[in-house]
Amino acid sequence: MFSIFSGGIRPAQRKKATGQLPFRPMEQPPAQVVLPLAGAGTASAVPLVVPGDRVRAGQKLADAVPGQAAVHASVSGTVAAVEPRQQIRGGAALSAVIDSDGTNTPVASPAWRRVDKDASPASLRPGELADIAAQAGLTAMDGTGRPLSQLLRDAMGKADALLIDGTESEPYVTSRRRLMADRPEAVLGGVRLLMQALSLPRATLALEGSQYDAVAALRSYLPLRGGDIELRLLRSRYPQPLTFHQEGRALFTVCSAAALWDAVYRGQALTHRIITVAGSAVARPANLLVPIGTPVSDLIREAGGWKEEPVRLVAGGPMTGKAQFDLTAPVTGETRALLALSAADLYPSIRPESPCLRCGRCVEVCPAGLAPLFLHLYVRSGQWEALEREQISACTECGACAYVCPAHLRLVHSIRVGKRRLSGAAGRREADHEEEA
Amino acid sequence: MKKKRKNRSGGQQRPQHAPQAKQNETFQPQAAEQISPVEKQPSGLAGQPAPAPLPRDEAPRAEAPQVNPAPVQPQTAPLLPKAEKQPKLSSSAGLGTPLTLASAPHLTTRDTTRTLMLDVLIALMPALLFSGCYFFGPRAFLVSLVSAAGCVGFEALFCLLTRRRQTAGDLSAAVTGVLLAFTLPAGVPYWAVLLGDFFAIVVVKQLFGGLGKNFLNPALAGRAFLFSFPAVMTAFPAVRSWEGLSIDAQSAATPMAALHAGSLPSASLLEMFTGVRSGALGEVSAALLLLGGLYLLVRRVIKLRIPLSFLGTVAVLSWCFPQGGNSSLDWTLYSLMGGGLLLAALFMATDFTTSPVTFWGQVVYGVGCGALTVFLRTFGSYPEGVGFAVLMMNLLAWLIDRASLALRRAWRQRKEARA
Ligand code: SF4
Ligand code: SF4
Repeated sequence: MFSIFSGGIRPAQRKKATGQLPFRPMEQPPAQVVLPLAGAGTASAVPLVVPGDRVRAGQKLADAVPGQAAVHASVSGTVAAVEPRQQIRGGAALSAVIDSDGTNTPVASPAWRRVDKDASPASLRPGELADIAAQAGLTAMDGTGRPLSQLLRDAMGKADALLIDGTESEPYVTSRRRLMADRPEAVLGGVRLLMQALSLPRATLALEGSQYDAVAALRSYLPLRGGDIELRLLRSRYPQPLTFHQEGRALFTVCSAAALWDAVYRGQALTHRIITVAGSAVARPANLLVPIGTPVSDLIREAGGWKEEPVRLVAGGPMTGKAQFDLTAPVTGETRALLALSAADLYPSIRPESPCLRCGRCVEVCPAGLAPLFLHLYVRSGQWEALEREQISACTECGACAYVCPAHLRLVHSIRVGKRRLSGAAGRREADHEEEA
Repeated sequence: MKKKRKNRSGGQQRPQHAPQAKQNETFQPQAAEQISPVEKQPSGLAGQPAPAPLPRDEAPRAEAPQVNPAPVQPQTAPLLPKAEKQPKLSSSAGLGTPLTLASAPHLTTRDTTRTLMLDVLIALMPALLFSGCYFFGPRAFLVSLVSAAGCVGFEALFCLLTRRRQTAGDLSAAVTGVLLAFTLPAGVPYWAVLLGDFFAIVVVKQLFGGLGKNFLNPALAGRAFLFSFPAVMTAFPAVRSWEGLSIDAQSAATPMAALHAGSLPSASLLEMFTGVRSGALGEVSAALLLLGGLYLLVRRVIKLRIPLSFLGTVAVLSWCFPQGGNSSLDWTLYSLMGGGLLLAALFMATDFTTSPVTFWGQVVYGVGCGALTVFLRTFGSYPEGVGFAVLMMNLLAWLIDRASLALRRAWRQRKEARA
């Protein structure tokens, strides 16, 4: 029963180009970074700097607001502007624009107590860890951008299990794998900090068997059995059923764990992350350690520029990432990958739609147990009421259904149209009530 | 100025990150093709923000088409285009074509309708080859070819006349044609074949909306229609009697006729398995049909659940209720290999369009097909009831889907309520 409902697909991995390349810093650091002060659907934070200010790397630019972590400068330099800028998630958001002076002068000392490198996690109180996460502007780094401190506080005392997600089942993406393979101590140390923050004695780290170098690196730091951190090897599968939300289980990414370690032991705020730049349209695919706020164009240049004509530029994995049209948009802490896809990469997905065969493949793979073909039908024929009955809101927009559809129907697109329509309708209803009241 | 997609709601649109925002307002149910999610990013922009980044080096600025005075914002330039290419004022980093926008996922399977249908045709080939070369002679080839050509022709003609999108190329009509031929006696006259094709493609498939919308299996419906001419449909030539195959050629009793009468057929079990027996053009050889079915399973075109539940139900019921005092084992094996059961279970009941889409729906559907088959074979006046059993379950497929999805939703709600 469960295996039927968990669905999922096994897309071709396409990770050969970057899988074994250790991450490296950018050879040509960005001349300017753009740091958004508002997350998706959050109010904009009040900027702490004005144009003309000199800032150091790691200096706080804005305090946290609900749903959005604090923002720190990722380079040192001069604030050029505080103005709305195009974001990769779509739309514009108030952002601090910093002209880099190229020196990366760090702040003298972080705003939180810096812990000695040899101090054990047990010397930190759980609440203190959440505070550090808040001060350092750490986020979930899973694409949602939720503040890590908030997640920690929500889970404290409620979670009785801790799962750390190191899987990346979307094709092309190798940033987590390289993080685990190249900085295993930071990842494991961060996991222990998360355990301490939640007062849990044990954690499970899930990763895929195909990330073999990461597995080997982590293993060398862990006892074969009986350790506090258990490695769980999974078969590559998208989406990974193990990483679905589960009551009573806290779920964090390896990126967050390593960032927490950096914050606690190195006093670093969230200013950098590893991003996979891949796709056949770039000359030298790479895993890059990128200052947050770097414009997309600088990443492309760092990866050797265009080799072929890019037909689509995707920020994030190919299954859920967003297509970009503005190369000045900055990458964020949630950006796992930047994919420059050529026509050959994209080929089957840009085929024209043909009629639905009712083959049932979309139903088969849907991890939410929905019937995407009917959702598609209702959206395209305007039967909005039926969508609610079909529980369209349960869809996570994972893209598995559209991946397997032999008719190449844009199922996820239809579902988004439907969801938007429904939320619009619901919004309107609420507004009507307010007017009446 | 690069080509720009037709505006959907009049004035200039400012590029959205994902196009659904526009569809929210401008979407018209009648014009599905208008909301094609892939669209070219317009490169000249009226509104703001103006994502028309300027090349970093000033030299070719003069060449850039001055479309409209886009508000110049201080922004990082896009990366430099290749030296030999002329940078252009577009968001595609100067490479010429604009970047495309679309909802994720940006990768999909390579399978298409055509490749799936091609796989079905390939799976039917062993049975057809042996029919044509051994059992019934060249006429089997001719009948299949005429039927496939007839179906494709009718489909093409219909699409042409009604100005629908041409779907003859997706091979689904060819599959219908071959399957229809497989259910006919090898000596069937060509006019009857074409009549069946017409009914299958035009009446059953296209008049209900074409591929994916018909609620009856076209091949089986075409065959059922041809039962208006019983003389044509029951003149089964004996196997290996090639010469003079026509309706008035000697007809042989099919194994089904014997089973219907409650006795075991004269053909041995081995003969039934290999196909040296009388019957319709493509249904005679159990072995070759199984081979084709195996191919479809390996290629993941069909799933095992429908054939398995279908055949399993027939097997269980035959085992429990053998007719005419025969042993359960004999009766079950003959029942499974007799008539068109294997052809129907592997190729007809698994037709995508007319079977349910959910797992349990498919299981229920298969069980229903099996039960109805045994019922019709036992109590019907025609010896063979498989075709009608599948057609009846076709009618229920939609209902089964609704029911299984409703159950699934209830199950999910209960789980959520408990959590
Ligand atoms: S996968 Fe595509 S063709 Fe198959 S049922 Fe779903 S929507 Fe229809
Ligand atoms: S995108 Fe939504 S409907 Fe499609 S498979 Fe994923 S959860 Fe199911």
